[in-house]
Amino acid sequence: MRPSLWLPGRLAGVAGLLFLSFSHAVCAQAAFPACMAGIPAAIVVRIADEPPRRAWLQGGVSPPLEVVDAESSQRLWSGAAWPPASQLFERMGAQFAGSLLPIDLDGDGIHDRIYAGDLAGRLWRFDLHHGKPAAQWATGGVFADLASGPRGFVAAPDVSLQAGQTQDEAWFDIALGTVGLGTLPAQNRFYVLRDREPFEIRTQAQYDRWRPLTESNLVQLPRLGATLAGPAPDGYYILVGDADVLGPALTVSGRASLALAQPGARADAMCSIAAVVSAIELATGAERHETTVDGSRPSRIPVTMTVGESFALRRVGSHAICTLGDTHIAHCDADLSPRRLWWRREDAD
Amino acid sequence: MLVLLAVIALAAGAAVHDVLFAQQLANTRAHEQRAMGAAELGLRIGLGQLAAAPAPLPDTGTLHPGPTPTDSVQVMLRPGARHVPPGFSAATFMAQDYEIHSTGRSARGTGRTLVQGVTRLETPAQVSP
Repeated sequence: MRPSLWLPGRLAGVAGLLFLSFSHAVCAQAAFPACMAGIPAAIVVRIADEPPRRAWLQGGVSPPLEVVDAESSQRLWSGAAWPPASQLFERMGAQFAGSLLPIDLDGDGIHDRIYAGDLAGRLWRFDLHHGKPAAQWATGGVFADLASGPRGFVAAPDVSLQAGQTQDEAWFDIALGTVGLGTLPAQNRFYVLRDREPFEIRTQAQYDRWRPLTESNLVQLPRLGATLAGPAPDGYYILVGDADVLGPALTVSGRASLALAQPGARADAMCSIAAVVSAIELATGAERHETTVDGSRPSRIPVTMTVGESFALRRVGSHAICTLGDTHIAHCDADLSPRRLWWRREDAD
Repeated sequence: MLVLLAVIALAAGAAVHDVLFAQQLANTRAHEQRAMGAAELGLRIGLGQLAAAPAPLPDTGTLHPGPTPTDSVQVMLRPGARHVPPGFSAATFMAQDYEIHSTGRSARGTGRTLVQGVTRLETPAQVSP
């Protein structure tokens, strides 16, 4: 959701991306991150002894990450590799654009976790400690260091809980893709990373000890449509060539829908661009197919979308209709009808 | 002769008593069944509300589902835990548990309460400051 307000962080984000543009000699493809500069994520926080507040989590240059009050624009928290910032994180040198995802893990309305991808191709994980002062509010670090080449994350990660064979086995699948930031066509990736401790709140010492995942820990799929041949305990990635991942994926029933820019497509002045929506099974990477009279073929839907746009859900009766731009994406329609869990009788006499 | 008459009268009285008692039992049973039927209907009302409405009424108040004024049903929806649903985007979907308490009532204060535990996916309006 793109806020209509002009936020100070947006200015910082644009400035940061200009800086990045110079540092990477960015060509026309930089239009993608520029379109997403400063798009914040809505978050509800409780910092220090204050009541829960609605705020914006946003990226920028200095600081790379900050939380500002939604009403007063007062900075509530900031994170950077250098002072002044509420908290210092050693490796937080690159900017963040729109790849920000706060999650409420326990349903209490306050966000507990942030996953954030930076423009250097690293995915960060933060645990938020409600009620702690700003200097201790977050613990975090690099969860996956996927930097290799001029690629970065500008679209928000998509995180979905997956259950294993046993009752206790569960993990988060973190799906996110890159956009090219260099002068040459990028070799983009769509990653599906596995956070094996989805509800574990880590201390800063634990984060400092964590060895970030790299591509060597992941299984490579050579193209969209390829399928995992074996287990991928830490995840996998799909080579998507020069197709940029322009918006966050959406997972419904274990199947992630993702939008890839059509090769050679450029965003216009309104940040509108031609893309193709595909759907993959997160467990295997297999692409969804549709049956035709000639057999079966990948189900790919051409759309025109705004860079950074999310899939939208509109409730109709007991279903949620999924759209991207003006196009209905049947892959991600969701059934919202209630499911019976248990039953008991209580005599009212 | 009088003794025989007395025995017959006693037997007849016992038979009438049995019939009246059985009728009373049958009526009570029928009221209980009507109350149970109303309670089951209430569960369907609750499920229907959860299927159709993003924010269903927590209490329907007393409803009279049929022409009999003594038959009524009241449905209460009590939200339970919220949790991250497996297989769905955690930032877009939330699983919300509910208890549907449905109390059916009929004549003579007969009542039955059924409780159905359900869960449904919700797409909370994006937390927008």
